[in-house]
Amino acid sequence: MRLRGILRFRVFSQILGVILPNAYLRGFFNKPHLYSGKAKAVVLPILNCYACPSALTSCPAGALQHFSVIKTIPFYIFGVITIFGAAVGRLFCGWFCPFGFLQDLLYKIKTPKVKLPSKYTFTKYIFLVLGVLLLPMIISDTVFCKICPQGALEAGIPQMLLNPELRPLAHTLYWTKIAILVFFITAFIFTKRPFCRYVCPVGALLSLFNSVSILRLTVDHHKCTLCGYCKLVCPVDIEVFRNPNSTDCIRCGLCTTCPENAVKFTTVFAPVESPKPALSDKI
Amino acid sequence: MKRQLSKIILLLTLAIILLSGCEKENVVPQKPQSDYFDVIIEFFSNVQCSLCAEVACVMDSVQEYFDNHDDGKRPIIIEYHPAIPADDPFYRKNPEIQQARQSFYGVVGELPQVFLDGHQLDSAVFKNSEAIITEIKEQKLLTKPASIDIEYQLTQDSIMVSGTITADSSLQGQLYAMLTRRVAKFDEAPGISGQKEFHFVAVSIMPAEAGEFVAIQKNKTHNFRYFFPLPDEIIGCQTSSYTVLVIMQNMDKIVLAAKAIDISQ
Repeated sequence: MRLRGILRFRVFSQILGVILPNAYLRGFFNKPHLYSGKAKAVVLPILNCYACPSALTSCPAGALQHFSVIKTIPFYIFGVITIFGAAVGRLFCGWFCPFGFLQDLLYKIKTPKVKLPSKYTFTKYIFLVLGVLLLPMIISDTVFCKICPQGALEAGIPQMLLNPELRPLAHTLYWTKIAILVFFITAFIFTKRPFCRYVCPVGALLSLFNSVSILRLTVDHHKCTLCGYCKLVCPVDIEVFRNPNSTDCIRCGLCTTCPENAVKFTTVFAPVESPKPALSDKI
Repeated sequence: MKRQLSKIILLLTLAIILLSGCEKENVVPQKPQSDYFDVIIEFFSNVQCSLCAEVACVMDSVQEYFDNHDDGKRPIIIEYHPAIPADDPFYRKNPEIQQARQSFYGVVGELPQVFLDGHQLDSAVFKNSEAIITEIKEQKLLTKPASIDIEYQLTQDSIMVSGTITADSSLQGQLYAMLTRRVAKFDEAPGISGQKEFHFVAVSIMPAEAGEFVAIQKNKTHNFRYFFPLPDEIIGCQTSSYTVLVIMQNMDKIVLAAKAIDISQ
């Protein structure tokens, strides 16, 4: 019952995450164009392509690459990420990111599911460091944008559909991007949030704050029975009872529906609980 | 073994995805032959200024003269519209660039004012096409201490301008890239000057109003790249394509290098 309540509330928030940053519907009609008003200077900590005709705000990954290309330190973007990250960690990934929402929706399709090893989730930092920061600086090009499936979905496809004059420009790079999108869309059906766990550079940046953010998850180890419910409902396959503030945690809160009421959202200001019993004592 | 293989496939797939982002786009930047030589005339005007309309005619005749003489190349002319005596459609649309150049040259009081390679011209010179042509020819003979090479890439919503400055001697100064409208033609004159057609009006400045500080060693180069968002149209005004101008000026306002290219749309 609690799970259904939090799910409904989260879905509502995720729908808002799709609508609000993409509210410039005029971009699709009457000579399709991109919004370039003042709201475009706002960077939200979500993966939402700013080349989408309806995009009102900017993508931090895209903006970071542009700063890398011009070899300038992006104080503004790092500041925004630090503020959001220090306050709530990866909460935006779980509650507001449109691409995360797409992954959640596609995973609901009833098919046999595949588990991916959690050991390799460090690869998202490789995408962040190489794809967003270093390679754009070295080859003066927005490397991650060229492979970003969200960019293909929100900008690549609509731009080609709306602007016939762009179609002759679609060559290998465009079709590679579409192939990457198809690959990920397929992966979303069979496995839990693979993009967020292995690739997303925005998530990688925010994840650095998960263990120190004001909002955090705590596990009452006296109540925890190690039943594995939290891992079962977790959209990123975390063993919450072991590491509730893992760098992969997207703060969706589904684990707080724990039947034993052992997992809950708290803040760093909450009183410290009694020391946790060793896991080996329980196993 | 099977588990190891799936891990290898996962890492390999992610590596291929990342590396495919390094593929170069097949949109080749265009590097047109410049129709301009490296002498720059900066003309401060306003639609409410009748004298400015007269000077605009002088500027047109200067262009025409150089089109038909020597190698057919023209001086670079750029027009700014500060809010003197009042704001006008060009100022209202892009106040940043108009204010930036106005404050750079300290233009106050009255218009028109004209600067040739950073030096203010006397009104007796800029009102007389022969006098200004003579000044331009003299300026053309002087070799600038640096040269600029530009190429551009036009997309649906922006113009990417990139290039290189090569210095013949060690120098430092501010680098500006400016986007101008080649022609802006109103159906009805927007001001009391009666002028309906305006040429090379500045619409954007990059990377910032104050430019970018650049220091180059002798025989070394500096690379630059700026993205201009395509500007909004002015209501009741037909416009043509753009000309991009890159200029490097030192603190004494002396033009160290300048280059302009026309953008074809």
